[in-house]
Amino acid sequence: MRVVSSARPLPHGQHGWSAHELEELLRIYAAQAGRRRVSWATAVTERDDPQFFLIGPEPEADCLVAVARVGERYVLEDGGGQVLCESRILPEVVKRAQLALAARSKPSLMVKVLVPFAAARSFFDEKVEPLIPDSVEVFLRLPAFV
Amino acid sequence: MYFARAEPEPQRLRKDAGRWLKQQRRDAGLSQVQLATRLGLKYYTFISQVENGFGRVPVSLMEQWALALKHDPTEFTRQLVSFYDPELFRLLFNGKEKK
Repeated sequence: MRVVSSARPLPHGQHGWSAHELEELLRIYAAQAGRRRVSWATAVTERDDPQFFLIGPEPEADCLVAVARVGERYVLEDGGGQVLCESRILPEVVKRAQLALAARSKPSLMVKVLVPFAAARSFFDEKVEPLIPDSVEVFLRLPAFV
Repeated sequence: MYFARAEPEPQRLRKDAGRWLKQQRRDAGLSQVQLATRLGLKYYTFISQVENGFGRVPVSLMEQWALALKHDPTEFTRQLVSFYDPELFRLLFNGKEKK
């Protein structure tokens, strides 16, 4: 596989980001800052391609998403290096990052279904089942054997 | 009086891991792009993310990463665990490390 890289010279700004680009990238931060304690940072690669990182809450402070400009393209990756989006249009990448982060913070459908089910099952086992006489319990469990 | 805010331990250790990984890559004579190629990554930016201390080497890539740097995968993983999860490292290896 050919790795996409660039040897573009470093423009002015924070670690190679222009003020306009940084302003756009900070929309990712702003969308999250109200909900959780996130921070952001910039860096450059060995080839001076600029990178922007949205960092999760301390103490772990894991990278939630990273945006890099490689050549003419903006690349969005998650903290595990999975490419989520690549585009020449930065607002598109920012939008995709916001969607990825929103999806990440919402519990999945499976969790939404399983948690109430587990709670109900636990309530039944702890509170209701001890009140049921053995004979009724056998009767209740009978269909399982049929 | 002003006190500089200390970096939380996991962050500091991850940066140490990044510095260590960068040194191992340089010792292996590889650029970030070359390492990314060997790991089958489309972009090399993830290597930079990890070396700058913002990310971790995923478990799924540890063996390949070690082999690309001409390291023994077990020793390489042990070293990374000592950075990424010192408590797990202590429990597994009883604090025996060669940092």
